[in-house]
Amino acid sequence: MCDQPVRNTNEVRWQKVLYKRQPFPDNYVDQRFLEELRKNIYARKYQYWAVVFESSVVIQQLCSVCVFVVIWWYMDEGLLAPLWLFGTGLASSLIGYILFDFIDGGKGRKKSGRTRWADLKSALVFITFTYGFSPVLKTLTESVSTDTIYAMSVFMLLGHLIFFDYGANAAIVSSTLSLNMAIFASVCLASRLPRSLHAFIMVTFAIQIFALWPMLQKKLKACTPRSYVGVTLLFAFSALGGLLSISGVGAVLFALLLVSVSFLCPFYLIRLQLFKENIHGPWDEAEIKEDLSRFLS
Amino acid sequence: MVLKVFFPTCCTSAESGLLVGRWVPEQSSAVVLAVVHFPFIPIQVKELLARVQQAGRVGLAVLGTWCHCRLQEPEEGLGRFLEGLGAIFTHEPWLQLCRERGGSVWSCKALGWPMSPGAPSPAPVMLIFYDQRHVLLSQLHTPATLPDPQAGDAPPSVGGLAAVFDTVARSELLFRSDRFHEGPVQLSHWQSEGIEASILVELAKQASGPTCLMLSFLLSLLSAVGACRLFRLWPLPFICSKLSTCEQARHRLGHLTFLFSPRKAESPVQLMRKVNVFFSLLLDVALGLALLAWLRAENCIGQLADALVPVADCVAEELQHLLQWLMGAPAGLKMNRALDQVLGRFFLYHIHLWISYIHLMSPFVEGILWHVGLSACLGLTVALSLLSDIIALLTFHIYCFYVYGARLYCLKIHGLSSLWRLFRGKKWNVLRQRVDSCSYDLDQLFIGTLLFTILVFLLPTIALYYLVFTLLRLLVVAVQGSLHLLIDLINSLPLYSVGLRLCRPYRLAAGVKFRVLDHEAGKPLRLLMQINPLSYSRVVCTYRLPSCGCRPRLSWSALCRKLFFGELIYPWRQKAGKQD
Amino acid sequence: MACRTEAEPSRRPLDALACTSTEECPTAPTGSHSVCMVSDFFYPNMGGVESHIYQLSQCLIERGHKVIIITHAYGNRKGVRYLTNGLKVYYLPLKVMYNQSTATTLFHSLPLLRYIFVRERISIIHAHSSFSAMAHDALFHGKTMGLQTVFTDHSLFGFADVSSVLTNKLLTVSLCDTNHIICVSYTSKENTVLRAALNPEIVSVIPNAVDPTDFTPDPRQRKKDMVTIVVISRLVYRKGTDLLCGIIPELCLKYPDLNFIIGGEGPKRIILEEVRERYQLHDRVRLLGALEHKDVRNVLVQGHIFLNTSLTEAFCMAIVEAASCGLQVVSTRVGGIPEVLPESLIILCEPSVKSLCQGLEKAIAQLKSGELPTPEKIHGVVKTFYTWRNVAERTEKVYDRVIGEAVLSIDQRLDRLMSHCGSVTGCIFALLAVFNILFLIFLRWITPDSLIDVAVDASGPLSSWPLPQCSPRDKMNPHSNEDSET
Repeated sequence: MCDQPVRNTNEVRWQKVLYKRQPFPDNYVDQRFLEELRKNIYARKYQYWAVVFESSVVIQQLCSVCVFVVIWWYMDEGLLAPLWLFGTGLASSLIGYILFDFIDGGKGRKKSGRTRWADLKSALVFITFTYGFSPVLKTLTESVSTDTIYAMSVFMLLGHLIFFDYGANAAIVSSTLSLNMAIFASVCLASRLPRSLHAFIMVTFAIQIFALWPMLQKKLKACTPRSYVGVTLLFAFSALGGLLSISGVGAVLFALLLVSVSFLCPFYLIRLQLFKENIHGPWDEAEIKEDLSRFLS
Repeated sequence: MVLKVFFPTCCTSAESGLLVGRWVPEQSSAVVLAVVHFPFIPIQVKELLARVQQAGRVGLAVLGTWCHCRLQEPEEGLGRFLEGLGAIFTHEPWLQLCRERGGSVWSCKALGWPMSPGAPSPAPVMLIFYDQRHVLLSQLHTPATLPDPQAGDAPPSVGGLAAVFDTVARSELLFRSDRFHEGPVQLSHWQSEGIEASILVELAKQASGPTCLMLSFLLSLLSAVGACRLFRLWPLPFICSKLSTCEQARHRLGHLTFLFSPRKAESPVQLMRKVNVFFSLLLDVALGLALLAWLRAENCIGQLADALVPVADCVAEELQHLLQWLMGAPAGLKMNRALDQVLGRFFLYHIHLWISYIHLMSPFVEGILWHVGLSACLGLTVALSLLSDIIALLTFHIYCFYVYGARLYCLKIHGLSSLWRLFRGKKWNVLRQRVDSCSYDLDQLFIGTLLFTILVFLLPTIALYYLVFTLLRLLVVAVQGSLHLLIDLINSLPLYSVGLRLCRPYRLAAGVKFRVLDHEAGKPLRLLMQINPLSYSRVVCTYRLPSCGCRPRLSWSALCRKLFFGELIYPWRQKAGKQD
Repeated sequence: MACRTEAEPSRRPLDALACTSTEECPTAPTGSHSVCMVSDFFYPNMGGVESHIYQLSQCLIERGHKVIIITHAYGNRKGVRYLTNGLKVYYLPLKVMYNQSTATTLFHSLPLLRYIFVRERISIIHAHSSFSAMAHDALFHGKTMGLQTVFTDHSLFGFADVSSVLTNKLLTVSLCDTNHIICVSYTSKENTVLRAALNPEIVSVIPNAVDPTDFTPDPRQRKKDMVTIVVISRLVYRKGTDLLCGIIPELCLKYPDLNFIIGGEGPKRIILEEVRERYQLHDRVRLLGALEHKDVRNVLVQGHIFLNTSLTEAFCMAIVEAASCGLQVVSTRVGGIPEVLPESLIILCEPSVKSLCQGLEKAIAQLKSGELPTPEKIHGVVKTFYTWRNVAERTEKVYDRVIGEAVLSIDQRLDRLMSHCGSVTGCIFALLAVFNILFLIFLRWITPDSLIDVAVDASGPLSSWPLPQCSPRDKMNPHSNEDSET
């Protein structure tokens, strides 16, 4: 096959078809070889500040975890009156609830079809169950050593941060798992507090900060991006301040983390885009771009 | 095809005469059963054959002639006469078997063989000698798998062998006449020697009929009483099904009815089974009586009764210690203190109840034991089942603990597994039998996770209690299980068959083997057929009596799975009853 | 037709009879090769690779070469079996890990494979399918033993995700010192060249083939007053079953005389059933479930139009089979599909419900107006395109070329591995190659090559197999053969 002389391509042009017997050897390489190769056709161009804005979701979540831990520490040390925390939490929840409906003028509520009565019922269920179980929570982890509990909580909070739905479309994201891990961690931590009332208030606070606050955030981000940036900054500074009152080193480290997440990482993302080399061609598995679920649901 | 002639060894020294037997065309073999001596009247021979044929439903015929030439006795005339007989008794092929010169030379000719006219030379003939007595008495067990091709030189197929055995067994009537019998036709064949013993057998046969009838009547009366309505009321059948004594008694009753049923055993297998049942019963009762005698002689019952109550007390005390250990911090495990206390107190109260029950019982223990000892005369198995029941009753508190622990643990495991699915945002889809993802409400998630956390932290406590009580329970079950194994062994061992195999190996044939006696060119190949006895394992396999308690149906992996998921493990007998 | 032997133990006396010492053994004449096909995928497993190996081997035997096949044991089918015309198949006792592919440690198969290569006097190792671990093992060991290696790639891979990055790396390692590579289409060639960073000169394109006599048209089986669309594929995501779920309701609502026949089984079957239930199409959409290869033709001839919705495909035998049965083919324009059939026989669409529906509507319109050529005519055109004899001829040329090449010596091979596959991977695999060579030396010390019995050839120039008496038609039909054997 190699010894066959390659004939003049002007007379017989090579065709990229298999059904014709062509006068070329089987290993013939035409000029058109790889002509359908494309590079980086799906690569996106990122704007630096847009990426920084998007990173605020991560900042918020990091700050939530930080605030939660700080509050727990205050409670554990007895520096924070539980009733005061409860009152503040209740008040901010009410404000948030009103804000939640106020921002989009009740459109979201109409869309989901959820009544206020259902909201009230949910709130009642939270309160009753948490209050009822708080004595159990108190004695639950008595015999387990504190270090185990801390390790477990750290593990769970990390899991919460990893699985949280930051808006990326990846298989690892599971908001349910993320929320459950946060609740698990809060129950573990709450069980170390001195009294069952403390435990009750701690778990309530966890629900507020891990379940309700992200919902409000999402809405804020979608409707009023400006105020969202403000809220994020405020939240970040308050978390930093809280941490500073416990440990200076921790606060510095946390500040570094926040800065690197919000400013350094976007910078690297955009820099590394330049090195992207993604090969595409006819061999790629085709993507189904339409939404086919309408035929099924 | 080679013509095979099966010739009984007892006829080798018979006088010249006619060969009587059966022709099996499928195997191209002739089974010679007897030799009819001179002189005879052909009509009478035919009559005799017809009689045997009718009795045994087997196609007998005169196959040919037998010529036994004594030392240097030229009997030219006889030979010609024998040839002439072929005209009277027509048979294809007509065999001419000859033993000459003091038995060292055998010759055999087959006229009219091969059947197909085109074949050139007469086909070779193979003479196979067989011991008529062995073949008559033995029972051929056709192998389940194909026979090993190296077993014999020229093995007839299993079907062929079966035909030979069958022919001999069916023509038993032919062998009834003995040596001293003065009949019109003189036969030479195997003859039984123990005439005197056979009179006893006859007498026993005569007597067995009425005995069986009477006993079976008694038994049916007994079972009628057992079936009466009073015993059908709710708690009784339930309790009976749980008590191994009742099961064993019922099993034995079934054996007796089977044994004394007036119907004749239809097949040799059934007959063998009857005899096996009889011997197993006999052994059982003998062992039981021995046990009873020993118990009476040594005054064991009294000692046992004295020891029993302290032992039960001691067990309860040990259990109390165990519980107290569990209520502390056993092996440094991190148990939930509150739950631990609750469970521990509950079980302690249970033991307290149990001890008072035992003390209430203590005056009557000796009487009870004495009656139990009496039951040994019904058989060792009944006594053993009773023992197993007593153990079950005495360890009832362990059973209770186990059930509580298992139920609690099972609930916990199931709750945890479904909450774990909720924790991951999944749920079990019952319709499709798979795990689907599902979006839960916030309050569902919260309550689920709260419960999940609580259950996770309580799991070690409950698992430990479950583990300890399960181990205790398994110990009891193991003891009961070994008792039941013993009972099953006595129940199902085919004693008679094994004995038969030991003393009369030829009675149970697995097949045959051939030994070459003599092979000369131009003469028929002479083989001796010997019976291959059945192996012991196959004897036990074939004649095993059905045991009443089922073997554990659970495999080890299934058992472990059940233990892990906290499903209840029953001892074997209850399990079998449940499945029925 | 087929006969089987009970494998290993029985072959010794035969071998001893055949040749007692190596110098007595006549050597094969030049021009004929001893080829060993290695793949995890072979009968009784069914699929494209399996039939490719079988048909190619048969045609090579017909051309006078010696061919044996090595695969792993399937259930109780183990040991050595002989198929039609003395095609010897070794079913090796190796553990299956996933999807019929064996687990590999890169070393554990060396003793067995070396023994077979030596006793069969193999000169060329021809491995199939990049999914087959055994094929890669055989390539690796073959190079260690200094044999010529050829590899046929049957599939396409992307470059985007993590798993393909890893598998492409492994393919690079496996193919960097392989003598020649065969791909089934030009697209597949481009893909393989990119994935394994190969010189395109050592990659030949030899398409698959279809036995046209197995796929003959029979228009009487079609329903006169109906238009029937046939789909035959495994019901998995890669075959575009999701697209099919969109097409069925769309077209069924539009054309009341339209029927679907769907053959094949897979995890996506459930969504087809859901669609059928939702739109009440039970009488118009028939789900046949898994089809045996011999039934495919009988299903194909019942239809007017064949629909292929694959999202990726290296060659796609299904559309050739359908066209050979005289059906109008409508297919997605992915992978090597545009190269397979001329424009006149196929309607190519984009992989979307809309485009495929348009294509099908065009086909239906042509059918109703009678513009389509008759099935016999289509069959007459298609049957000349792909034949196994042609494939075998072209493969033979590859063998001729390969046998003339020098096998890389150890140092060259290590050099090549290190320079070609990146520093880290290259070094690791160079180390593994060294281990493999040491292992081979150890094995040669334990049982020297001269002690290994030489097997009797069942195919090739020195074949002791009775001459083929059956017609070529018989030979080309593996399915009846398999049936008679099992």
